[in-house]
Amino acid sequence: MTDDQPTPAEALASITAARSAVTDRLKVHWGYDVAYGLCCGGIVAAQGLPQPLGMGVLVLSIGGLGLMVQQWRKQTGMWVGGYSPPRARWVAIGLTVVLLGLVFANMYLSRVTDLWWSPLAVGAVGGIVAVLASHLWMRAYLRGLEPRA
Amino acid sequence: MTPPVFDPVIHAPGRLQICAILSAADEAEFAMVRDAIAVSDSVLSKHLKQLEEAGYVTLRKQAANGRQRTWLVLTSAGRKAFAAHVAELQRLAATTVATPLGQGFSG
Repeated sequence: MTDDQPTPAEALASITAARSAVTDRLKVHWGYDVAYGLCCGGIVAAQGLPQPLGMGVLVLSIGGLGLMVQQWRKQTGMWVGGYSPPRARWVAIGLTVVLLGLVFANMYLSRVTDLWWSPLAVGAVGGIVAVLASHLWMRAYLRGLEPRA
Repeated sequence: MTPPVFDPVIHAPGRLQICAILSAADEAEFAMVRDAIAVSDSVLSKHLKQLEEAGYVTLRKQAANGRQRTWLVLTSAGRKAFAAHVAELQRLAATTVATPLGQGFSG
């Protein structure tokens, strides 16, 4: 190493410092998790709602997710796809599987029952799961950025 | 497991921090990286040029609300090189801690 080059320990410390500066920006408001849950719940619920209400809820929910992505990028100055970070990826995969299951359950229930609240109940389950998954994903992502022992 | 390889392009303090930030995201904005590592626009541009020439970083311009924003992406080669470099730093740091000064010299 030359005089102006950091030692290995200093270099590792500078990596930790740079990532800390990033993680400070990622402390988003809990409302983000709730908004994400509302959008995901809306997508699930839309599958069982009568038309054109179902289509309207679906468009609003997908549009809401798009706005959230825009806001996230603007606020944090970065973008991390749900499936990109190795640790958090499993939370995103799990959420996708659960939401797909709920979507199909909702489509099935809307054919076999006339209960008006059934799509809303299944959508609410999807929304709550999405809120928890959003919170868990962020925790797993931030833990993945911490230096390993 | 990434084999440890020292990379002189990445090792310079500014570039190491740029790679550390970019490796944590799919893409990051120029201004965010500049503020996070506390350097000027010109210093960051210089580091990015060297990383770009090594094939480690790509730049993407985006016009939004009448403003031009530049997004930085660590390429697949950049991610591999950074992971290998960090593995080498960890190996060297462990060696430095584990080996007391003078050990290994018999004269």
